[in-house]
Amino acid sequence: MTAQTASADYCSQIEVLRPVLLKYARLQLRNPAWAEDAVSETVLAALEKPQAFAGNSQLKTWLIGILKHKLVDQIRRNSREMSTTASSDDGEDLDDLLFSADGHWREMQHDWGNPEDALRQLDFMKVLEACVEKLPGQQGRLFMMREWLELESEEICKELAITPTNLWVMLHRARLRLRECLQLGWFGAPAAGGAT
Amino acid sequence: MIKLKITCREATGIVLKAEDRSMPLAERLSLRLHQRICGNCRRFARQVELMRQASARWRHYSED
Repeated sequence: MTAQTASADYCSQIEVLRPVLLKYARLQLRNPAWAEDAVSETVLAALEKPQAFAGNSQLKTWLIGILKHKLVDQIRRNSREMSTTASSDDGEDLDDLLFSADGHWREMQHDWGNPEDALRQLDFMKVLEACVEKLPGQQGRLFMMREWLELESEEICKELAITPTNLWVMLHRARLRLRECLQLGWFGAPAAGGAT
Repeated sequence: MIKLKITCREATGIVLKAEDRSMPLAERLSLRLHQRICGNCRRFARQVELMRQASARWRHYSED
């Protein structure tokens, strides 16, 4: 084979990774069609330029790197639709449930213990992923852009044409929700420790 | 001006805000004063810290 042609082995390795790519694309874009497009573009780019894969990193690492660029392209392309469909699913404010009228916690907050204990475990990563998936559409997108794509706030605001205040409100809500979900799904039911 | 007494709701807002932008000194001081007397808010701040570490670990896990 020449350097320009992808070997059958290389192609099948990429195919095996497609579901993983699709999972992250969906988490980021919250739209199956856009996610499919981003993954197809990623796979195509990888197949067109097998020589670009240096082999000194893992194939998955390299593909995720390409995918992240394609996801940003998709976000740009569909930013208008993302922003116009945003408001309907993100209304609820957890703050009112967590705090009483005078601004105090309604319930006792739990000690999550030593981070290493949780972070070492593969199952924790799965719970975290499930919790991110449960975030409402635009909150999920913004959280992923911030934490997974590692974009700066200014970049996110620019790409989606939203105000910083809007972004911060959404991230605030997303983080409170995520915390609630981790508390329920991993660190124990909210009432388990009881108020002591 | 430093607000000497902030509520837990405000303290929570400051902790979350700090994840995405720099925290003004006055807010940092108000928060520290509040946390000194509030175990719930200390625990909340540690939870947010753990979530930050978890995100970093998750990023790594997704690429590995």
